[in-house]
Amino acid sequence: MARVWGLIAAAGLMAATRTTAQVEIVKPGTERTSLSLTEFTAAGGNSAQVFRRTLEEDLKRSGCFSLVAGPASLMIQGRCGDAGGTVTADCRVQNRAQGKEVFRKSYRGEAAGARRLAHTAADDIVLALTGQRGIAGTRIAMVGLRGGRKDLYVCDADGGNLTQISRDGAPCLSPAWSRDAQALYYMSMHRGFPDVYRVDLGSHRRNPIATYPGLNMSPAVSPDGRRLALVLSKDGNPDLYVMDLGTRQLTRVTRSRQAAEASPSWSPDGSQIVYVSDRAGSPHLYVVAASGGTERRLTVRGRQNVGPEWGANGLIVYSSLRDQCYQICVADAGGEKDQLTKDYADHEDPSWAPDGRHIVYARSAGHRSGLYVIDSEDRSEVGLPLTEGSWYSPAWSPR
Amino acid sequence: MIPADEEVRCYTVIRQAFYDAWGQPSRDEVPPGATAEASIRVLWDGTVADRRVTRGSGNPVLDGSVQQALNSVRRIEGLTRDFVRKHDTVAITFRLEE
Repeated sequence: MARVWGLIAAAGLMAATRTTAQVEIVKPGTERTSLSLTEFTAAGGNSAQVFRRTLEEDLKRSGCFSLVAGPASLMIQGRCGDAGGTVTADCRVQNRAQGKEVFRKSYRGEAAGARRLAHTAADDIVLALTGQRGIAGTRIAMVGLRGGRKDLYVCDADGGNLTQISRDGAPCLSPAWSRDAQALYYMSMHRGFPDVYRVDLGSHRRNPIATYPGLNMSPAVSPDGRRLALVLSKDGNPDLYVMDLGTRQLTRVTRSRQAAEASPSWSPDGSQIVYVSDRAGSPHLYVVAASGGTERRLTVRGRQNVGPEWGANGLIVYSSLRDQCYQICVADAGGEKDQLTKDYADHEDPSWAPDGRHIVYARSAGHRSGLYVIDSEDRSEVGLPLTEGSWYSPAWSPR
Repeated sequence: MIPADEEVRCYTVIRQAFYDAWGQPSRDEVPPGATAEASIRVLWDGTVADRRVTRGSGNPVLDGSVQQALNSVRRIEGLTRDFVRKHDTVAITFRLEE
């Protein structure tokens, strides 16, 4: 009996020592309109659930809406279901403030393609409600380190549908999308040398693009898709070149005797290239005409500035070494503007989404690197759900 | 007994999970300073077992956004058993900046 009382007393003591943890979250109000999927139901099997879940995540990730469980200004209504290997969805959007329906469309596709169908629906809804094209249907290329092997991968913009592209298990770097988003250019050392290849994402067929003696790296496709900026050391130091993809003819853009160039990226009109050079002693960003000429230094702040990408919005995103960590920063053609990240981790290889608003980058803390997306307007960040490995060098596809 | 720095880390993990999950509403729909309080219960493996808005703000958009955040966090990785043993319930205050 005494033992029983002892147990009761111990349980009572445990219950008494348990406390409620208190957490406070404070955020500024946004410009986002509230949107709810409470009246959009999924019936049937797994594909219908996948469709609904993907649609909800895509609309949240668009950055245009504040998702709400319950009444909201914008109500997604309708249903999705799957039967006989087919997924169907009827989507309507009711604007409660205006008291009218502002979107209606039906979708139908193979059950196995439920995610892609939901991406399409999300982009249609974003376009109808905001007038801006969405990014749910775009993809992200990256380098993955899994099981000690480095290879090229592609996933959807939400991190799902991860697909391995190369199977070399060899160092590879800096994937760059073709303008039609059907191929990638990248540097691979699978033959023992740093060479540039083009891989077709449909057939996975790979063709060598630049295999000159020395370094062949950092490919970047011009906005018209006809030229490739890249870094070659065939004439001595690593210098910037432009290759005509039709004729393979090279134009040398920089001629630095004592410095190395890296990471070119084209201006939206294709007339200029931003790149990294260490000619001043440490890596900084420079801008030069794509045809060559006098280069102009763009960045001054930060001990190093690397990995620039010139977005279609005219802004250059890059990684700047500040207080021991690489942080994501933004510049325009005139110079530095803003620092987007601040936490104690390295944030590298940023790449613009085609909406000119979201940026994907690699965030390293400890020995692991993962991919994150930041909304450049409200600075909210979200990790891509890529597990089992480390992920680097992301590149966001065109639409 | 849970070391103080370990407790702080667990608080940070919980806060970050719900900070990321909360898509706060617009200034047009919710006045600055509006506050909603919620409560979750966490199991030893980090699973969020119960979730509810305990004191609504009276604004359906804010309360709905909090409920959406509560629904979307199914599991919190990185909590220690000692922390969960000490705090089986977590009260979370969601507030829009003044």
